[in-house]
Amino acid sequence: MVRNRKFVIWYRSTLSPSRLSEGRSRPLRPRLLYQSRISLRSLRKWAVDFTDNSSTPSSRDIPDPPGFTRASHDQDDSTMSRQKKDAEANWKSQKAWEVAQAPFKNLLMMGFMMWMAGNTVHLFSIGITFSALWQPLSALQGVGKVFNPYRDNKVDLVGPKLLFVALNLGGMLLGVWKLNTLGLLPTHASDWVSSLSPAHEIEFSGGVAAPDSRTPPPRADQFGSIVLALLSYTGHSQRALQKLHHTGPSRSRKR
Amino acid sequence: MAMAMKLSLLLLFFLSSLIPTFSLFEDQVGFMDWHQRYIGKVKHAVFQTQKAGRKRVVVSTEENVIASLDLRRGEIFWRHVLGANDVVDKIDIALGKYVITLSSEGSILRAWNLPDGQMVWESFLSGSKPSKALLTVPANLKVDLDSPIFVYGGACLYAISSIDGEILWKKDFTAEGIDVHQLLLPDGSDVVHAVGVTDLSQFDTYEIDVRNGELLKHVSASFPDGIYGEILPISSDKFVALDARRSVLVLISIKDGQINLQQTHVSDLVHGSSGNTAILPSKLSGIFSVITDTFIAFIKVTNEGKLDVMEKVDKMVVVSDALPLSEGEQAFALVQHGESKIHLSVRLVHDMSSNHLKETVKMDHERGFVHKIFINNYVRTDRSHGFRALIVMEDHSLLLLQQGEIVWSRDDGLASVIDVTTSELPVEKLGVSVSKVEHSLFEWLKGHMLKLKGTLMLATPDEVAAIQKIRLQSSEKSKMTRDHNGFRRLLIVLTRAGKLFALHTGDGRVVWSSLLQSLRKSDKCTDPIGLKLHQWQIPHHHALDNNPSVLVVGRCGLSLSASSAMSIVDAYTGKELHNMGPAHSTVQVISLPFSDSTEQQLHLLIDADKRAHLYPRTPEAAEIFQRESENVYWYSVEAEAGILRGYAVKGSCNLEVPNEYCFETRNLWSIVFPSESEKIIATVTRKANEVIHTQAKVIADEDVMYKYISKNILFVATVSPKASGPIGSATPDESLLVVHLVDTVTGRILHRMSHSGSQGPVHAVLSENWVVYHYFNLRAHRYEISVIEIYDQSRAENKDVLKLIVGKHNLTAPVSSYSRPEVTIKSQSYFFTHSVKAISVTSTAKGITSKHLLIGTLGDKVLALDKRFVDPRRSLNPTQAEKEEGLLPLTDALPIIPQSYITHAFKVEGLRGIETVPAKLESTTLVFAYGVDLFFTRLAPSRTYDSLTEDFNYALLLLTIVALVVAIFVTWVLSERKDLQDKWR
Repeated sequence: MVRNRKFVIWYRSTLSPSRLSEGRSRPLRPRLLYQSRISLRSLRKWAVDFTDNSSTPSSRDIPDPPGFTRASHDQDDSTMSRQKKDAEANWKSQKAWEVAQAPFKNLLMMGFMMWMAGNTVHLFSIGITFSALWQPLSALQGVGKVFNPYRDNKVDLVGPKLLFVALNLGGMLLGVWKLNTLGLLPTHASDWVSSLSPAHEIEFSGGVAAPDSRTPPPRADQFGSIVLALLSYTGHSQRALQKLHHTGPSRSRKR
Repeated sequence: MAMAMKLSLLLLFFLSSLIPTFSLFEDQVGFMDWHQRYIGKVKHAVFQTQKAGRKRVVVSTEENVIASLDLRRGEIFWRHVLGANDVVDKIDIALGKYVITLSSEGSILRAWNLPDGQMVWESFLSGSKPSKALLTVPANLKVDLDSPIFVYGGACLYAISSIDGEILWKKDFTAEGIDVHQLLLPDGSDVVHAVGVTDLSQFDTYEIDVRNGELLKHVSASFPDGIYGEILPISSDKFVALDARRSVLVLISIKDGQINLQQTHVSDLVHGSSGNTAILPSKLSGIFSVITDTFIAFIKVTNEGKLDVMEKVDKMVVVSDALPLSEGEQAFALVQHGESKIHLSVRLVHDMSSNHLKETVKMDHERGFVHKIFINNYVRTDRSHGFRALIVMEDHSLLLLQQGEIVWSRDDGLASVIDVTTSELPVEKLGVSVSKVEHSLFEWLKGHMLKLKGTLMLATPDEVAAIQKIRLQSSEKSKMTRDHNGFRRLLIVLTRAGKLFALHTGDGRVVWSSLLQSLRKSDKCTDPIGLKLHQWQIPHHHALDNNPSVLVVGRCGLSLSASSAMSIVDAYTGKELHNMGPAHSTVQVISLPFSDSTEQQLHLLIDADKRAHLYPRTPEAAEIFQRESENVYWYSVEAEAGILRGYAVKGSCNLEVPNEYCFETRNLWSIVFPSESEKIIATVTRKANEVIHTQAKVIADEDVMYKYISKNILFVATVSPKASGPIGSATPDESLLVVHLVDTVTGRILHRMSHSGSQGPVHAVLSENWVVYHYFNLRAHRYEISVIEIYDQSRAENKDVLKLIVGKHNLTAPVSSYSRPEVTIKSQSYFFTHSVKAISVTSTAKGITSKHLLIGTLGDKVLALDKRFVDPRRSLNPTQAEKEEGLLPLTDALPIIPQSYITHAFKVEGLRGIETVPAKLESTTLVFAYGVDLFFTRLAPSRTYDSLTEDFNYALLLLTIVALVVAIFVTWVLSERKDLQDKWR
C-alpha cells in the first residue's frame, strides 16, 4: 500500500530575478503539495505553496510599500554607466563580427574533408556532402539566435549578419558543387532522358521469318571444334594458339 | 608481349570474377528448376526379359533416341540421342548383351552394352549408293567362334563381327542393280538369302555363303507388271508381293532353283476391295495380312500355294509383329479401339480362330488411337504364356499393358515440342479455412526454426535432409493460383502429335493435356501438322471473368497451299472452345497489337494467294482493323528465291461471296538478293512482346546515345551459294557472309555488312536496338559472335538540359519509318569457342534489368553470357569513365565461365529452342529450354535486387526483432527503477 504512494514535493515558480535585485523579498508561502497516484485526499495533512503571486497585483495580498513604483528602475542613468555601456557595445560588435567570421574556418575544414573524400559515391563522401549542405542550412535558420547575445541598440548587427549568411551560403554552394562532382545533380541530359520510354511507332509490320532454314552443323565440324577446344586447353600448343590469335576476329567491312 | 598477355589474362580473370554468374550451390539444384527426360515416339522396340536380372525394353524413336527402359516402371536406364541427321533404321540385340543399332541409311553400325549403355564398337559402312537399310542378327550362327551380323546398306551386304565390329566380308550389289528387300537366314543353314527386285520388274534371290561372302546361287524371275511396295517372306521359300496396279497378289515360291509365280486377284480373295491395297509388313509364318480401304484381311498360304482368307478385321486394328513362342509356335497381337477403351487380343498363328488372350483396357481418350504395338511374353507360374504389350498412342505416348491394366505410361509426345506460349494462373480465391492457416503457420515456423538451425550449423544430418526436403517440396511453388512474383505460370506446349500440354512452371507436372480435334487425321485433313501457338485472349482489365485462351494454327499437309486448321483452347481447362476446320490456306500468322473489348487479340492470317484473313470474325474486330489498317504492313521472306517482299492492306477481297474479314494486299517493296552471290540462310526479328524501358543509353561522362528502337527491323543473313553447304565445303575466298538490317515497313536497308571468309550456319537474336549473331570464320578456323548496335542519329541533338527540363524535345513524339531517321551503327566481332544450336535473350517485365544471352551449345547445355561481353564499344584501354560505366577491356574471345551454365549438371538433349518469359518481379525471367528433354529455371541477370532470396531466414529476422523488443522493455523497466532510486536519494 505504502509502496504505491508517491510523494512529490512541488515547488512552483518562485521569485523573479528583477525583484531579487531590488532586494525586496516577499513573504513566500511554501505549500507542500501532497499528491498520490491513488488520490487519497483524506491523507493530506499540509501543503506549502511557493507560488509567487506578486506579478498579479489583483491577487496580491500585500500592497506595495509607499514610494515603490512598478515602473522600470533603470531610468536613473549616470555617466559611469554610459561609459560602461559604450564599452559593452564595442565589445558586443567585436564579438558579433567574430561570430560572423566563424563559418569561414568551417568552410576551409569542409573543403579539406571534401577533398579527402574523393569523387566517388560512397558512404563517407555522401555523409560529408550532406553535412556540408545541412550545416549552413541549420546555421542560416538560427541566424537570429546566434546574434541574440549581441543585440544592442548601439550595435549594428546587419554587417556581421550579412557576412555570416554569405559565408554559410558559400558553404552550401561548396556542398552543392560537391554534390555535382559526385554526379548527384541532374545537370546532364542523361539525367532527364534516362528513363524516357521509347517513342510510339506509327506503323506496324508483322510477319514471320521463312520456315526454318537452319541446318545443323555436320559431324566433321564438331570434331574440328573439339580439337580446337582441346588445343586451347592444353598449354602445349601455344604456337597453334598464337597462330589463331594472329588472324584475329574478321574485320567487318562496311559497304 | 608475353607479360602484357599475362596481365590482360589476369585482368580478365579479375573482371570475370566481378560479373554475376548463376552458379548454384549443390543444395539449390531442383529448387527453382526442373528437368524432364523423354525419348519421343517409339519406332522399334526389342524386349530383353529372358535371363535378365532387370527386365528391360530397348527402343528407338523418331527423335533418333535409343533408350533402355525399365519394364516395371518405365524409367530410363540409359539413353543416347543421336544427331538430327543420324536416323535410326533398325535395332536388335546380339549375343544377349549388345544392343545393335543401324543408322544413317545403313551406314553406321554401333553396338552398345546392354546393362549400362556404353558404346562397345562402331563401324562405318561406306556404301556406294543409297538404298534400304536392313539388319539381321542371327540367333545361333557361329562362324569361326564369331557370330556375324548381316547388314545391307548402301547397296552392299556386309558381314560384321558382333564382338568387335570388324567387317568380315563385303558383297557389293551395285553392279547387279538389285534393290534388296529382305535378308533371310533359314535356321540351321549357313547361307544368307538376299531377296529383292531389279528395276521393279524382276524378282531376284542371291544365296551367299556366310563364311566368305561368296555368291552361291542366283535365281531370278521377271514379272512384267512390276511390283508395289515390298516383297514379304512367308516362309524360307515363299514370298508374297503386290503388283504395280495394287490389284494382283503375286505368290513366289522357289523349288529346286526354280521360281514359280502365281497370281491371284485381290478382288477374288476379298470382296469390295478397291485400289488402295497394301501388304502389311508383319512377318507371320505362313500368314500375311492385306490392308484395304475398309478392312485388314489375314490370308493363309497353304503348302500347295493356295491362298485362304482366314479373317477380316476393321481397318483401324493395329497388328503387331509375330512373337516366337516355344515349339515353333508364333503369337501376335491385335488392338482395336473402342469407346474410351481398347481391346487387346493375342492370337496364335496356328490357331487363328480363337483369341488366346483377350483384354479390355480403359484408355484416356486424350491419347487418341493406338499407332503401334509390340508384344512380349512371360511364363506364368502355371507354365502358361502371359503377354505384355507396349503400345504407342496417337499422342506419341508409350504405355505398357499387362493383365488388362496400364502398368505405366510415358508422355513422350513432349519430346517433340513445336511451339511454346505461357498463360497466367487463376487469381487466388478468398476463404481459406482458419485451421489450415494455423497448421501452415505452425509448419512455417517449424520449417524456419529448422532453417535457422541449419544456418547456425546446429542441424544434424537428418535435419539437413529434412530442410532440403522442405525446400524442394514447398507447396508454395506448385500451387494452382497466381502468385505475387509471377513465378507460377502455365507453359502451354504444342507437340508434333497435335497435342497441347499445359505444364506447371513450379514442378513441371502436366496440368492438362488435350489432343486437338482440328489437328487429328480426318477425311478433310489427311496429314495435319501443328504450326504455331498464339495468345488469343489475355484477360487483364475488362473480360476478367473469361479464362485466357490460346490459338493453335495448323495445316493439313506439308505444302504451303494446304488448307489450315485452327483451334482456340481454354488455357485453364484445355477445352477446345472453337474448332475452325479446314479453311483457307495459311502461310503466315500475324498477331496484331490490337485487342477488342473482350481482350481478344486480333490476328491476320495470310494465305497462299497473299490475302489477309482477320480473326476474330466479329464486326468489332473488323471495325478496329479498318481504323488501323492503313498502318498495318506485313512482309514475307522467300528464302529459296532470295526475295523479301513487303505488303500493305488494300481493301476487301474480290470474292464471289462477300467476306468482310478478308482483305486484299498489295506489294509495296521487294528486295531481290542476287542469286549468284547471296542466299538467305537466316532471318530474325524482334520478339513482339518485348518491353523496353528506355530509348536512351547513358554512356561514359553522362553522355547520351539514343537507341534506334523499332519493332519493324528484320535481320537477314545471306551467304554465297557455294558456302551454303557444311563447313569445309568452300574455301575462305569463295565464302562471304552478308548481314542486312531491313526496315520492314519501307523496305529500306538500314545497314549492310559483310564478313569475308565466313559462312553459316547463322544463329541470331534481335532485341532492343542490337542484334547478336553467330557464324563460322573460315580464315580463323573458329566460330565468331558479332554484335551490331543501332543508334538513332536524328535524336542525337537532344542534349540541351534546359530544353529537356521544360519538355521541348521530340523524343516522345510518335515516329514513322517514312521519316527515314538517320542511324549510326556500332559493331564488333569476338571469337567464341562453341558452336551453337539456339540463341535467345532474357526478357523481363519492364526491361530495366540488364540482359543475358542464352546460348544453347552443341553439348545441349544452355550458357548465360552477359550482354556486356558482346558490347561493340569495348576498347583495349578503356578510360576511367568508361570503366566506371562498366565497359570491359577488349578481348578477342568471349569467356565461357563454367558456373554460368544455367542447366548446370543437366543436358537438354536435342536442344531446339530456348524461350524466355518475364516474371512479374522485374529482376527475374523464366527460361524454358526444349528439345528431347525439357528444362525450366528462372534467372536473375542482375541478381534478385528487388526481393529477398528464397532461403532468406525469416525466423532469424523475427527472432532478432523479438529480442530487440524484449531488450527495449527490460532496459526501460531498469531505467525506471534507477530513476526512482535516484529520486529517493
